Amino acid sequence: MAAELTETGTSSNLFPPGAATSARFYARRIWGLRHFIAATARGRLTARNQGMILGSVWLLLEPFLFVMVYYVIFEIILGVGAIENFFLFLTVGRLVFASHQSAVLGAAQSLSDNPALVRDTSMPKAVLPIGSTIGTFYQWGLDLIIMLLVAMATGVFPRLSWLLIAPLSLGILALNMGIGLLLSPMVAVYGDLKRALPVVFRLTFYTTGIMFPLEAYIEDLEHANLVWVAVMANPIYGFVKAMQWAVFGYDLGKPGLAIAVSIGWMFLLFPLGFFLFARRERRVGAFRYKVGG
Amino acid sequence: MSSVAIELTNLHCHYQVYAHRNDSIAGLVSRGFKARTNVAVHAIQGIDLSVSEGEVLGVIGHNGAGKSTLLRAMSGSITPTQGSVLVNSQPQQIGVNWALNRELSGRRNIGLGLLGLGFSPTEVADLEEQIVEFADIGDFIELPLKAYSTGMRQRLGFAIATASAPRILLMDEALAVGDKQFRARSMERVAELRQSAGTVIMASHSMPSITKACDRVLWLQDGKVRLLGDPKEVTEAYAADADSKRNTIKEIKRGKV
Repeated sequence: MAAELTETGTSSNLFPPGAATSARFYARRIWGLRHFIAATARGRLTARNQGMILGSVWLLLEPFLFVMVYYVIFEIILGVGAIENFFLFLTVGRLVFASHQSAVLGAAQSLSDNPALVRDTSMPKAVLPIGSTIGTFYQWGLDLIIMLLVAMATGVFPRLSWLLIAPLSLGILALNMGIGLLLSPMVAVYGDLKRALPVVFRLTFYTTGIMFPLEAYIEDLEHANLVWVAVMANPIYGFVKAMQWAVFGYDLGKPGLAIAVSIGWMFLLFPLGFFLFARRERRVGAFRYKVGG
Repeated sequence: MSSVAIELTNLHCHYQVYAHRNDSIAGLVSRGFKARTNVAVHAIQGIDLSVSEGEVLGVIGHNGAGKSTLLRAMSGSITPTQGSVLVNSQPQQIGVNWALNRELSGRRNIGLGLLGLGFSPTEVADLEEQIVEFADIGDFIELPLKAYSTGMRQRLGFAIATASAPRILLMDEALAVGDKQFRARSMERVAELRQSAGTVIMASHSMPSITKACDRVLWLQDGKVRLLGDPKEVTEAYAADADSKRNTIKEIKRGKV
């Protein structure tokens, strides 16, 4: 009899516990936990540098030092001048890509790294990958400060296109969340992906052209070439180019297509990732876990 | 007759556990990469149970009898393999305050714990002092959680989970740690919850606290109900069973069996 009640949901005030419900109700439960997600993400960020002399200063110092390494190598030692303002090109590209990579890898492993939480919590389990991406997004806010300071130090001053940085950042956040929601259940079942994903990111690092202006190489190849397709299909490529354009007016060549592809990926992967995750959670034994490590 | 708070119908919970065999490269190749063998653990095997509002139900049984799995199924953190769990309110399980961050102070963890229960930031500010007072761990409240003893963590967890006056409270060995004084206050809190039509499920190995607090006791064995009923009768039967097992072991050791 009770089984029938679950199906109809009427004639009783009883309901199944936890998050085993429709995707809409699932989304509402996550929204109800937004303060929790934000507080946990902030907590994790502050906790990471606790007990160090510089403490939270590292949150700013870390991206700054990475950027300085590029300055020393490419500006001082090599003196590469492939394009105008190559140093800023590197800075923006590297910060956007690193943030994207750590957001996706963190979210993808958020379930497999916390088997006890996955097993014990009655919260929607999507809180884990979503919370992980939000945490990286807080760090991104600090990366942005470094990025704009470097821009001004190299003679690029606030301009109207800087207003696009915020919507672009939100777009990257939605893309990261979508990929994280898609990958995290897979990583939980097939731990092999944990080893494979960093390799995939190494590859996309080069096909995003962080270290060199890729556009100059692929311009001649055009549509017929598989390399061109591989570059264009890379979801983060358009966002990196759009960010470089917004920050210092980097000439994209043919900007429209790459950016449209990136935005397309975002609108596809975010709802898809969320829907599949919610559906998976309703299924029996969907989140298998290992006992005793 | 009061209304039903928890209804279990033919509940089955199985886990898949991966048992690793030979993990050497040669071993993997020779078996076609089938290193993982799935072993199904049948933790709960067909339980029908109805718990009323305002009832305190004790769950006893040996380690591995399925107590923790039963509580997890009730809270919805695991989905039953078969059968169903229905509740009249989202149960809250003490001790699974996974929101707690070991690097942060106890006070900040209270905030995290409450937000995780769905409270708004303003409500958190109101409840905070009350929780600090109940947990009663002195200046430790400002220190990171990693400095706490097991008992202190448990006190804080108990204080957070019960502050919201949940309608269904699940306690898995929640009273095992903590000193005598705190245990007494926890029992008072459980009684209060029951007064306000709250339902409490407590899994424990401590027979005195089970008999004292519970209206009914469920004895689980191998994922099935061995006995359900009056606390005194069930705990006595459980103790007698344990005694007889112990005697058998003694006899085996003496070489009699």
